[in-house]
Amino acid sequence: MRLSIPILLATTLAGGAASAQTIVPNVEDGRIKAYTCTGCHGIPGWRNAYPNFRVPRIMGQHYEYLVQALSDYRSGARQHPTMRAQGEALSDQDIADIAAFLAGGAPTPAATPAPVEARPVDDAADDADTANPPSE
Amino acid sequence: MKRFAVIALPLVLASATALAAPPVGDPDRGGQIHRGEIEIEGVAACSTCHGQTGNDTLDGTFPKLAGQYPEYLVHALQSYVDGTRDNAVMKPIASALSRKDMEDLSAFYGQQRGDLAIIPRDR
Ligand code: HEC
Ligand code: HEC
Repeated sequence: MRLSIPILLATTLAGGAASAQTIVPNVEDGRIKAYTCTGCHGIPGWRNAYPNFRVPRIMGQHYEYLVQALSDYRSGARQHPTMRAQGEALSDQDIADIAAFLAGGAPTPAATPAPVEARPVDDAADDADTANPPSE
Repeated sequence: MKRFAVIALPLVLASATALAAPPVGDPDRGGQIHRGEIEIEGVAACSTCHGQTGNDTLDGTFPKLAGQYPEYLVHALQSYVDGTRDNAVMKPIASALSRKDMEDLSAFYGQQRGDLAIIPRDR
């Protein structure tokens, strides 16, 4: 991470989350984009064929975790083939919108305290480990 | 292992009908592991990060587990172990669990009340 502390501090103060600067999640867009997802995640007890298990409940899950999960399918850090096929086509904006809809709203810069770790946007999407920085 | 046959039958029936499967694991023992009352060697209690109820997690980066389908949770834990899901925090934790631990924990989470739901279709 090459950003100097003053810059990090400034982005933290200005934007809350680093990602909030470029991507503003839109719940209504997310509702529309999540329509295809209901084919599996909107049917009670819908099953994944092999291995056989019920497709997870995702409505009401945390925004940050959902963004991470969808980014992980896109990057391949999560390898489930069906969900990878769903996640591959999603842009950062799509992911933010859908996650905000599922979570019942996204953390907004005004309403949410800044995350402990400010991280650059493009790293956060690609690198699965950034969500869980090792404590030194 | 004698118990296995007894467990397998309801599972087969449940998958045929897609109705709520009876919990495979022991939710009481699962709750004890979750809260750290039964210790897993070298692993912090699940409640430290996922919250006392499994719904009240430490922050938004830790998934809510309360009310999730138990069989998905078992699958998720196994994915950390076999590497099809890459996460530095959960891999060593999941690897320390036996199959029975996973089933008991998942049965516990499945019984907890929480925010998780399917996506409403009449949106
Ligand atoms: C064809 C069925 C199917 C469709 C359609 C589908 N999913 Fe999934 N989804 C799954 C399965 C199966 C899993 C479990 C995969 C795994 O083990 O990682 C899953 C897992 C997930 C997870 C991870 C949940 C967790 O607790 O970690 C998220 C988030 C998710 N899906 C979001 C979506 C979104 C958003 C869409 C629509 C763009 C979508 N899914 C469409 C089948 C589907
Ligand atoms: C140090 C904090 C921490 C502890 C302790 C912890 N977890 Fe986790 N857990 C996480 C994080 C972070 C994730 C999200 C990882 C990811 O993105 O894949 C997670 C994800 C999970 C998931 C996947 C959920 C889903 O929707 O796919 C399960 C299941 C899980 N943990 C169960 C457990 C169990 C059972 C224990 C106790 C034996 C435990 N965790 C202890 C931090 C923790």
